[in-house]
Amino acid sequence: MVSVMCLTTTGGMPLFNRSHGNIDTFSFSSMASLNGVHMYGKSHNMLLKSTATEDMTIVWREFENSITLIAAGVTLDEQTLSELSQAVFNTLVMFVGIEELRNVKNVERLRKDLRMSFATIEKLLQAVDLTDTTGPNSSLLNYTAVMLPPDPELLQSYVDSWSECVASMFCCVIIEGSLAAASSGWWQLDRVDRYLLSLVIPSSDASTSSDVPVFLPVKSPTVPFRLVSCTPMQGIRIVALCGPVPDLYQFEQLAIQAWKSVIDLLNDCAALYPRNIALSFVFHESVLGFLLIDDMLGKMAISGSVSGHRKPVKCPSHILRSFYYQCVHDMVVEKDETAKQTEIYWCAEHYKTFAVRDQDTVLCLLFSSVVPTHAMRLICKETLVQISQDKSISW
Amino acid sequence: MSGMASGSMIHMDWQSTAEGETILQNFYNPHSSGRKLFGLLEKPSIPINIEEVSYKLFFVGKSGIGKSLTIARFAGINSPASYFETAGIQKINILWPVKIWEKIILFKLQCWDVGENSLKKYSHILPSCKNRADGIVFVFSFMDRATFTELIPSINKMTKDDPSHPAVTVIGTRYNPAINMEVSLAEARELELKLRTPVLKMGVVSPGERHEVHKVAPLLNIICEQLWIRDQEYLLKQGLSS
Ligand SMILES: Nc1nc2c(ncn2[C@@H]2O[C@H](COP(=O)(O)OP(=O)(O)OP(=O)(O)O)[C@@H](O)[C@H]2O)c(=O)[nH]1
Ligand SMILES: [Mg+2]
Repeated sequence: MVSVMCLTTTGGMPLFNRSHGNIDTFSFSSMASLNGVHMYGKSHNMLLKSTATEDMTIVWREFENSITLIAAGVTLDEQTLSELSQAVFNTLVMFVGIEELRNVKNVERLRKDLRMSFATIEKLLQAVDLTDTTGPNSSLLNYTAVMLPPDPELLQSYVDSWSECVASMFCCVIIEGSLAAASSGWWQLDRVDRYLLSLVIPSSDASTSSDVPVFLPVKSPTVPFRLVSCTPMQGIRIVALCGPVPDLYQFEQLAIQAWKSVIDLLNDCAALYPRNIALSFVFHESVLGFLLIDDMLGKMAISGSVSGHRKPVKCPSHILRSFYYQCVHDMVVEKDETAKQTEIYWCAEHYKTFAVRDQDTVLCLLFSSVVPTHAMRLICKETLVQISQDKSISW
Repeated sequence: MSGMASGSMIHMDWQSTAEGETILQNFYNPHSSGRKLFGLLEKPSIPINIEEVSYKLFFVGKSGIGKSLTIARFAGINSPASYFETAGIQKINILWPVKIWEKIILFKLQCWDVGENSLKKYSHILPSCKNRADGIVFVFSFMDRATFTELIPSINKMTKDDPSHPAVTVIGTRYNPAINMEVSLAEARELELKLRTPVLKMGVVSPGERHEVHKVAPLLNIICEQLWIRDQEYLLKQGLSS
């Protein structure tokens, strides 16, 4: 359960209020008082950063001396809510550009324009909401979801020729919601830009193709690009970040030309869902699911079904997400290298989890509870080595 | 629209006949209760001799009026529970089989949906949507008088100077004759006579409703017929001038 409110910093004019999960949206008056305490502190040279009630944490953040965000969440810590606020602000930049946010001339106009960002903000809220166990929710805030397809070099070569054909350095292919391959330019974008772009790309069952103007919060906050994508087959989305050309119609024609002979390969990748890693990669038999994170590139792969047989736990990817937010997150964000932990584990009644970190890479594995606790470390470490060395997948 | 009367070529209730239902079977999504959205390279498995015709439709109307919802219902896809304003252009291809005289024809309606605020903010969007449009769909709400009054000026603005003479379709959302609507049926009728095109009515949505396809079938059939007539008239003119 999580909620974000947005106001103008100087006037305290409410701009919007979004929430996810079973939370009451804040009334106008509680919004005003939450903002009021913050302002009061400021007038006494105090910066109010956060507060906590028994079950809820509230975080205040100001951006560009112009926009104030107040984030409130249940079971979420200050760090996560602060990251959420930053991501929400970046999303606003993505849809309206930094200028309109820096000097707000017309509140009414801005309020309308900001509504374009709501669908993406909803995804951010969903990414941190641990109380939502209903949907197939497997997203983590600030990490692009990827899959590890077989034959990555072949797929890569098709993405490279697509990049040439559509005349854009920034291209990727999304399969069942996860990035399967991307041009080198895509990986050179700032991770903040890359993550938000992945959220703006519509799923293949939402539209046949789309053309969405986007600013890039880090790379291009004042000049918009066009995020163009289309679905050649259900489950598959071909993407490019474009300038004025090609228009959506030409884009579709180019995509058909470039990808029609590659459909079988793409369908093979789509068949990997929800395993999300090539079938040739075999896990230890006690492993039920995995979460793999690269904190430098800001990417992650997750799967709750690697074994194919028996399902002793109900929501494997939900457990992995909780494990991440409640333990692994601290391990990743710790700035002090010497204080950084490299291993952490959980033992519950029906399952166990273990995480190892090797520099920027973290692997979390979900085990059935029968695995001896001491064996988890070894399996986890060996699996991580195997992932980084296996030539038939690319991480 | 002139010359040919509507409802005379397309079998308006063909989709409910045995033949129609058999064909439509191939359009459903096995994982949901709705229809399938076909990718650019996909087709339903129907006899290959069925001819396909493709049209571009551009949907116009105020933010929140119901453009996206209307298209989602036409496409038979389950629309999201909560309302989000559309960002940029979202295009949905609807495949819809109709029977014209004795022939089954597969219509591909390429519906161009744009969030009204994106349209205002970014100037490249309008030309991209209008370019080579076969039809423009003007959406108003029966519960918002101003959107109805603005129809004629908006139609004039959009279609004047357009050499391709797009077909004009008008759809009224939030139609509910049981209550007192801001726009009366008599006024809608008056507009129909003036424009010589029917005002299509989208009723109140009840989520997860079965037989949704039979609710939207008459509207889709009328749109397909308009586009078909426009083509026939174009061919006739070509024939006369050559
Ligand atoms: N009851 C009822 N609600 C409707 C009807 N049409 C639309 N709505 C509601 O109106 C809201 C906005 O509809 P959309 O279809 O998303 O609006 P839009 O025209 O696409 O708006 P923009 O994308 O901002 O340009 C949604 O919450 C719909 O559920 C209708 O016929 N009846
Ligand atoms: Mg819309």
